[in-house]
Amino acid sequence: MSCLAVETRGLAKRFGEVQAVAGIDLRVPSGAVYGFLGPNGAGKTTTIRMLLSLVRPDAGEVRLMGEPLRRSGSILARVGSLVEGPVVYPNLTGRENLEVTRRLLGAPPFSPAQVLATVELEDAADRCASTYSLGMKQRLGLARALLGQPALLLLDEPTNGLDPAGIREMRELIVSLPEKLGVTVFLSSHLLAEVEQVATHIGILSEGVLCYQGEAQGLWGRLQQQLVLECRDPGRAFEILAADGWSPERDGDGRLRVPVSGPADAALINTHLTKAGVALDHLAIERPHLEDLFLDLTQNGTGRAAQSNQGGYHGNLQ
Amino acid sequence: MATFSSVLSSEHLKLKRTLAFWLSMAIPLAMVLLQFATVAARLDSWGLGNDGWGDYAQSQYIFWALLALPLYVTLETALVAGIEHNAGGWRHLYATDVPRGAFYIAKQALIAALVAVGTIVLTVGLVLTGRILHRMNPDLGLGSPIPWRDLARYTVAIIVAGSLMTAIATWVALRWQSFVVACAVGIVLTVCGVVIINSDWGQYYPWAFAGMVVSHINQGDRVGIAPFLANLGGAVLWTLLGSWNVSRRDVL
Repeated sequence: MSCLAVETRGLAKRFGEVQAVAGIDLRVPSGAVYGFLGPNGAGKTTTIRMLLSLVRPDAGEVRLMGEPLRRSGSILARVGSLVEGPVVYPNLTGRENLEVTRRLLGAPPFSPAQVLATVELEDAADRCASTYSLGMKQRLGLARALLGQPALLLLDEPTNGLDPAGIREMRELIVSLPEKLGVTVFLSSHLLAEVEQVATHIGILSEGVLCYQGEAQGLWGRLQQQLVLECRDPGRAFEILAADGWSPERDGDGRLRVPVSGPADAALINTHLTKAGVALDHLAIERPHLEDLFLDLTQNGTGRAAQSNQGGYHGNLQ
Repeated sequence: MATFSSVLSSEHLKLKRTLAFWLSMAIPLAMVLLQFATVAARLDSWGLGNDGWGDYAQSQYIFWALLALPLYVTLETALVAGIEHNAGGWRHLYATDVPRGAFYIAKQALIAALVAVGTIVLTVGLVLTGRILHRMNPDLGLGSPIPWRDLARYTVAIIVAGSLMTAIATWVALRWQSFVVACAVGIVLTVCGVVIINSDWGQYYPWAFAGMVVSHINQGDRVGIAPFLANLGGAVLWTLLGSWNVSRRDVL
């Protein structure tokens, strides 16, 4: 039995001259929160639509929970989705919106009241959805997706348009879902900071090509930390560090940045410079953000990504 | 997996508090009141004779079947389809394990039901206004027993005769997201129907057929079975083809 909630092989889609998705092989483990990252227009939504059989792929195959995907196939009963904003019928109350889906699902495992509680929308359940804020509509959309107790939840930019408080609420909700409901979450976003905080696995898509795929933790482990130094004589500090085998670089603010492997290196450099008579005004280790890697991968294209693979990123670089 | 009745039930719920729902009563009542006002304004000279109910019913039904019903169908199909288009609901519906065609057929059934409701409301309205007119002027010939059998015949004939028109209008409204496209197509075809009704092949024109049927019933003529079968068969065929056409499209 497959332990992959989503598996694609050579999934591709072209719209006219534009190759929206170029033969990607996704592998999403069951129980994961998979962050599917990419800039706008990278092909994330098209990929999700193919995973839901909303769009026919030109090539490739999709397997969900080990079963091949077909249009209106029974496997879709185990998938919840929120694609490009929530589906909300404004003339109905929140509860009635869920009732529409409940009737479609027959006798779903969860009642509308239960999922409304999960997304903390009970108080507004009997208000017309036209009066809901965008955040409430997003939560209602999530409640709709959860109604059938899905094994897999496909969320396309679920924090789009939300204010900071709404983003935090949605993030907490998403993080809690695998443990609470045993659901695998596939989450697309261009908000890297969001994915960084919730994902256990990451896939990075650029111009339809999967640049990176693997565990988020492994990715973090491979990202180089930097020691940031400020001193009155950066030129001398630069010479000392370079002579000592480090690889310092000057940044635009007159600071020095030195790639290090951790706090021990920072202590070593601090001692060394102090003994050499260079007084430090500032010393800090900066953990690089996913943005750095993301921009590196997407701006430099797949060639750079392939090069990075030789450097040993965890996961499958395409 | 959902049964067709659960899909239909789900679609029915979406109508709640919509303009489409309220118009299913408001439009036929407005048409009835318009005709009522016309008669009431000329109580002494209106040409109701011995068959007061027949004349009054015919004046209501011909106006409804030839002009108001086609426009009503146009509006209702555009509004019902708009519920899904505006909410972006297709991407939710088509991401379920329910066969896609079930949604199309359920919406078609719902619109057909709205046509039936509208025509029945018209019938009820004309009975009530007929009674009021009788009180206003007992010489109008509306004091005789209400001809329920004839009214039922008109009502059923109009509902059946409007089936192909409804099927085509439903396809246009579901196939194109634009409210304007659905309305423009419906209005143009309705206007054409007013002209075509007088031609020999008007009985095969969906937007004129209901009007022709009312006209034939009123004149005591039998409407041939062939046009009815062509209309019904066309409606079934169009529904199946429309369902296939709309369902196979990607949801972008």
